[in-house]
Amino acid sequence: MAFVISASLGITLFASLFLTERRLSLFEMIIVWSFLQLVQNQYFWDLSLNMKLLQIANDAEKYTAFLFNHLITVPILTFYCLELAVSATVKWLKPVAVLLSSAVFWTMEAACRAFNVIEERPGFITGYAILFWTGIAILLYVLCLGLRSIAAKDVKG
Amino acid sequence: MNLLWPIRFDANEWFVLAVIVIGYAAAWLLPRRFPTIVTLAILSLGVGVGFAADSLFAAPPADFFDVNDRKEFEVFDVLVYFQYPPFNYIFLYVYDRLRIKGPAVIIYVLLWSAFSVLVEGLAAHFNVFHFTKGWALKYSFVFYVITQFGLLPLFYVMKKHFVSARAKALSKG
Repeated sequence: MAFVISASLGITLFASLFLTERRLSLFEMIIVWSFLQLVQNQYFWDLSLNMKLLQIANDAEKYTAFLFNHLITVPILTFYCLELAVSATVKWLKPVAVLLSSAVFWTMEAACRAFNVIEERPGFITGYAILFWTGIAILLYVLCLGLRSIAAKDVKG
Repeated sequence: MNLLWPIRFDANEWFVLAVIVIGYAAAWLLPRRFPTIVTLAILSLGVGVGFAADSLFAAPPADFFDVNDRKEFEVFDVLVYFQYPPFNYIFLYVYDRLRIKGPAVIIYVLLWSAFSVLVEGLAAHFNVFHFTKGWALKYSFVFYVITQFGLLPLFYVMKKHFVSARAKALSKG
C-alpha cells in the first residue's frame, strides 16, 4: 500500500511541475533538490546506521516507497512551499510558508512511520525531528533568497 | 547528528582529500565560462545525484557497496560526495568549450564514462569503495553512461532557461 500511495503521489506531483506555472527557477529547483538529497540522506543514514533510532524498511517495495518519498515527493512539496514563501506579498505568509515546508518534512516522515516504511526505535524523540526539519526549512528559505540575488546579478550581466 | 570519524586515517581518506583538492583546483583554474547560478546548479547536481544514486545502490536492500572504513556513516562518507561536482563541471565545460556535436558526443560520453570508471577503480583500490553482492566496475560504466547522457539535455535546458531569463530582464530594462 505504501508503494502504491507514494508512487502515485510522486508521479502526480512530478507531472504537476510541468502543468502549473513555476515561480522558482530551474536553477533554484536543482540546487534545492540537491541540498535536500544531502540533508535527507545524512539524516536518515545517521539516525538509522549510527544512532539506531530509526529503521528503514529492508524489503524492496517499502524501500521503493521511501525512495519515491525522498527523491520526488518531499522535494516537490518543498518547491511549492518555497514558491509561496519567496513570492508572498503579504508579510505573514512568508513565515507560514516556511513552517509549512517544515511540516512537509515531518508529516512525510510520520506517514512513512504509519506505513512501516520507517520504524521508530526507543530513544527517538519526535520533537527533535520537528526542530531539525524546521531549521532545514529556514535554511532552505535563506538559500533561495541567496540564489535569487546571485541569479539577478547574473542576468543583469 | 552523530557522524563517526575514520577508524584509521589512511589511504582511503588521503585519496578522498586528494581527489577533492585536485578536482576543485582544476575546475577553479579553468577560465570562467558559465554564469555563477549555472555553475552552482552544475556543481550541486554532482552532490545531489551522488546521494540519490547511493540511496538506490549503497543502502539496503540493494547494498551493493560500502563506503570507507565501516558500514556506518562517517565524516569521510559525506566528503566522498563532494568529489563528484568538479567532474560534472569539467565534463560540461569541455563539452561546451569544444562545441562537441553529432556522433562525437557519443565518443565523448563513452570516454568520460571510461575515465570515471578508472577513477572509481582507483577509489576501490584505495578502499574508498568496497563492492559487495557481485557489483563490478562494468555496472558503474553503465551508470556513468546513463547519467552523462542525461546531464547533456539538462545542460541545454539550463542554458536555454538562462538565456530567456536574461532576455526577459533586458526587455524590462
